Amino acid sequence: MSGLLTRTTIATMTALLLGLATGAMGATQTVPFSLNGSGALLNSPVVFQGTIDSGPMSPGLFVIQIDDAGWPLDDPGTPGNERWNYLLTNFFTYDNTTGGQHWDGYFPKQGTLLPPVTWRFGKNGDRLGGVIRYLIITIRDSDADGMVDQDELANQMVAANFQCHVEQSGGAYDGWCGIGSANGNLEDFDPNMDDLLTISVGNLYLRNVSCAVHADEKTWGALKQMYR
Amino acid sequence: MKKTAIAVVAVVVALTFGSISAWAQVPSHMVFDVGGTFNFMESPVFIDGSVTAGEPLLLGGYWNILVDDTGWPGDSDKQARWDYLSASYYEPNYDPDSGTWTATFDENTTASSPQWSCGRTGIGKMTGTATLQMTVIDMDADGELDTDERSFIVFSGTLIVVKNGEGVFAGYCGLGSYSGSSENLHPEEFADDVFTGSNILDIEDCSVPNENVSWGHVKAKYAR
Repeated sequence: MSGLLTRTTIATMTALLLGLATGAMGATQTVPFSLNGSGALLNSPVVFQGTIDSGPMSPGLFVIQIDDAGWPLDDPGTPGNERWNYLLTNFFTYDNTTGGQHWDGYFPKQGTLLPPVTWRFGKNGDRLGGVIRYLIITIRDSDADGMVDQDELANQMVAANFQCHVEQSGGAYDGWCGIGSANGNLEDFDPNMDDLLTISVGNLYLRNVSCAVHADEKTWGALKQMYR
Repeated sequence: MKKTAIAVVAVVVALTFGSISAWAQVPSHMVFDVGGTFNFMESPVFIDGSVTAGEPLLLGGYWNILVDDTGWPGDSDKQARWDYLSASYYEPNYDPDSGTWTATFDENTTASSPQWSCGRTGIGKMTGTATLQMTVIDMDADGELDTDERSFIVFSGTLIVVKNGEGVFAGYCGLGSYSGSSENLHPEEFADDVFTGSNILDIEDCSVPNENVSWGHVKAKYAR
């Protein structure tokens, strides 16, 4: 099935590219991946990192970082966790569907671009990177009490749409950009330890034409040229 | 003759209950692939998929998400419906740095949470709610969502399994996540999108209250 998907995807992407690339011939490729790593929203900085376990970027390393500027740290002198309360209030919403009570969290905040969630894949000299929008984290309220209990954090679900920026691609992927999607879970068994992040399935759909340069890079490039 | 009939019935009964018993082994972690079609230009918005590989209990079964389109223009004027969808879900969620739009469909953005169901006839059914996000590329980087840019979409989301399943899944609850991509060869005609994806589910028997399960674990621990 995945072979059929890949062929169809390549055909569609190529057709799309040929239609839009103003005459330039483009190529596409699919980069499947799975990830295993650790990190925690309660850490500062918020960094999830680990290994790329399948696909052409394996064995490689990944880093997913959420900009936590402005997030409070926990005050160990108080009974509650100020950082967790801040996250729950600002990024999660409660769905009170009977029998399916849960929280959905969006990073960046839903409807915004902040805080940025960035990602990097690396294997030897090959590099891919960009932003994630959105990283969705779902926590089931198994006892439907409206409170996040520790056992409810033991298995959270995650889903992510990836944006691959050309200026962060390198090595075998130099000049490539694209989008992707992935899903998995996040396990938090102990609040004093990092969570375990597993991305079971992910795919990046890359192209080597119509890769507009990141706006910040454009600005910086223009500034550098001005002062040269 | 009578003995033979009784023996045949006994064998049939044994096979029947034997097979049910075998099917009743519901794994706590399930991984499977899905594929199918959807069309947000038609009401109701029904992501109509089937399980194409993976978990034997679900293989050949169905996998669906129903997105609540209450308040959207009807499907008789597809252009008007697309304009609404674009203006309400995609355009406010443009990322100029990435050249992408990401629309989200969940309890915050639709009249009610998307409804998810999965199962297989003769085996059982699971239902619940879902989040769904879909990303489209701005290929010509003009900030306008052009018709041909709707040709390719990536999507992902999370799932909640509510304890109202049927068959072998009766009493089970849990959660899951999925991701994939879709293609549309004729977006200008508002044709169906064809999608493929992957899904994981972590479920448990919730017919026993949590307290009892916990107490059972505690007793088992100290009974050694």
